[in-house]
Amino acid sequence: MTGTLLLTAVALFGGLLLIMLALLALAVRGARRRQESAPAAIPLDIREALADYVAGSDDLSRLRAVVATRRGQIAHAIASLHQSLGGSARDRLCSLALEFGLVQYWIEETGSPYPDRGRNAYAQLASLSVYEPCRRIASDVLLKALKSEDSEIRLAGYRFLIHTRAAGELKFVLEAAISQNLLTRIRLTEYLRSHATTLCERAVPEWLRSGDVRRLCGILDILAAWERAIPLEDLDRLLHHQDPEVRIRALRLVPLVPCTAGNAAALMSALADADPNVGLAAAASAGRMRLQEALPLLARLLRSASPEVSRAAAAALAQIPPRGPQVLREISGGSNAVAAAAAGEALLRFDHRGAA
Amino acid sequence: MTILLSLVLGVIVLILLGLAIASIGALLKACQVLRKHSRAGASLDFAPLVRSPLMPGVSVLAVSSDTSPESRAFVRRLLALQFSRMEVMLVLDGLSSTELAAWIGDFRLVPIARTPADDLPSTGVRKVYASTTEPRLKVVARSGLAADALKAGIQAASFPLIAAIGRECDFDNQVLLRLIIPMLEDEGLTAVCGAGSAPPAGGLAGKFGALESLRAWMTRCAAFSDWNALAPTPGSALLFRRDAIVTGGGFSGGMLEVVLRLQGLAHRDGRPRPVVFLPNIVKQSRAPRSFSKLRSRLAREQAEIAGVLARRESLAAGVPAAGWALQALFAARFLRPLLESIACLLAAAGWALGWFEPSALALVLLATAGTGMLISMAAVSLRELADPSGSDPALLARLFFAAIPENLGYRQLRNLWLLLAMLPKTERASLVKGRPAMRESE
Repeated sequence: MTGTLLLTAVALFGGLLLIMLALLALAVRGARRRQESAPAAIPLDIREALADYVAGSDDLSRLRAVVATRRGQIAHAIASLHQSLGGSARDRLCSLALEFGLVQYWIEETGSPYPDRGRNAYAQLASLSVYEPCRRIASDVLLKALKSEDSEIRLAGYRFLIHTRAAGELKFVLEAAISQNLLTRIRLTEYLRSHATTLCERAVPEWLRSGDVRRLCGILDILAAWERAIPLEDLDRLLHHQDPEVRIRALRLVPLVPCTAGNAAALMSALADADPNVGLAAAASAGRMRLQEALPLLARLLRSASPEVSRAAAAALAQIPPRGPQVLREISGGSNAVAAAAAGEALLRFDHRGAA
Repeated sequence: MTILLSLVLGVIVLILLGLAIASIGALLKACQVLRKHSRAGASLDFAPLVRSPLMPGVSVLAVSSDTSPESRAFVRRLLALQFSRMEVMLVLDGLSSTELAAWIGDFRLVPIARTPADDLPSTGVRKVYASTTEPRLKVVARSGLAADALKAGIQAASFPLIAAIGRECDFDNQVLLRLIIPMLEDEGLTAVCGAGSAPPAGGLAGKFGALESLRAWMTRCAAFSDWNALAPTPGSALLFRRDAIVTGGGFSGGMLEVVLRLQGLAHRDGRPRPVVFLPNIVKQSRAPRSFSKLRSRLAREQAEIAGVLARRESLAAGVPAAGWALQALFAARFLRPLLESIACLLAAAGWALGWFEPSALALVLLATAGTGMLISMAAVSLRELADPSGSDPALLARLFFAAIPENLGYRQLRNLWLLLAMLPKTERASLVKGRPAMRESE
């Protein structure tokens, strides 16, 4: 009985072992093939020929000689080089991609059954669409991308629209940035940064008049994330908005917009706001703007608020020399333990910055 | 007597075969999951994420109970992570004043007034420090239960997302950016777990360690993740929402317990996929070259599993997902080693005393060592087929054939190590040193 069982088990084990060996053979063969075909680095000859071309040389003979046999490597090289170029050099590279049929190659790749290859092709087309002739050829594919369920592919579509620079398209993308997931929003915000002035002419003011708090918060977040001077005039109204979330976001924008008497007054009153988070945002902005007139209110906030707001007020005071650090020194020796500790911490950082 | 023993042996062999089939099934599932991930992957430009103020802040937790150069180097590696809004929350657990002074001197720490959040129970925090040279470093000095160290870090964290990167994790400085992507795509997600297996080191111990790590990674991480029962292996990198931990009432163990609890809670609340698994964004550090280090690594892992099993009531009550993963861990790390050890002893003794025929011994060998070989070989081949990692073909073959010596001698020894590591500390010390267990308590 045991003997029969053993024979069966041995036969089963032997069979499974053979299957494992066959799987190993497949795995080893695949690994060897990948090792041989892996484009570890862009070949030096291609890199040099491309560098010469974007630097102004019209000699394409070296690249033309290999384009039929090494198109994948050239495509990879152009894609890597494209990210680090701008202006006429980038346009030259785009025209080369067009001449070598790479735009068509990537258009075909968008239909690949492998999602990663498809996404890569869309991303390359979106990058090349900065150059008008490429944009014209890829427009159909990239417009279709806007309807894709894959957020990465949709992003390529949005980048295409941004490259058109048309106010209407930029507005559409900004609208999409507010409604998309945070990953897409962050990336679109970065891509839209260089079009901030165009957007702030009409689209942004229109949205800022919206009553929808969620949309308002979304657009204010994007404006603050641009971290650049923006020509917005009617922030005053939002600084007095009834919703503290809107007030907080508007306060973060104050150092980025033209300093008006209304904004400064709103900032001062926010330093005394009942909501601690509003006070926190106001302190950060006052520090960033080095507002001397905010010193008394910041000192009061440091002494009277929660530890978190105290720390924010102390950090703001440290940013307003010479009077701010003097106030901190006075408070750090005082009897209010929370304020003294926050002032001490801010002074330490201030002294360390000075020493550095 | 012989019939009874034969019956017992038969039952054990059947259970072992059942467990082996389950392991192979899990490996096939892992293969499917890894294949899906490798096809969906796309390289992402991190530049917009690195500088965007829209990125949520992350507190990276680290716990240290010593002042070793390795601990300080680990903290410096964390401080070098690329992320716009990040703090490293280092918990110095139970250090003497001399040891604390070494940290204070090294990082120029100064005490700061920091009121820890009161949403988690008190965790023995003595003082909070900030570094004057590393603005992103905060240090919590504490004493008390060692199991509460992570809780103290979470309590003092300033940001809504908490990252925990294991000491045994081999990571690059973009790991946080990779981890956060699923959370940016789905703001309802509770946690993200990045894990990889350990690359093999030289010598047999190094290969056995790599096989061990590969099997655990494929089953506990890849396969279990698809069943919402992910049980992270040591050397994983985790990112989770602070409020999810607070809602769950905190925890008193390591990251394994956190992830099991989060999945359990999500299952109870009817949320579909609370934890996302990302393969290969980190690796487990290289497998140890010596058997003594391999044993310490196994013992540490086993102690964490034993701790979670000991607190299973708090995890499993009403949360079957976490309970399911626990049962699988119990079967793999305790039941199978126990049954295999009993079966081997019983078959060897029975054969020596003439109770069983030699074929019974051979059958037991097939059910233990034979199935072990098949499982390890399957793990090596299936991983390479599902998720081509650019392995060296020769190395792949060496790892595959290392499954033979692994299961002829080492496996039996490993079973004893695992069982010994499951014992409470006092009993283990008495067994190892030959002292009565009571001595510790006396």
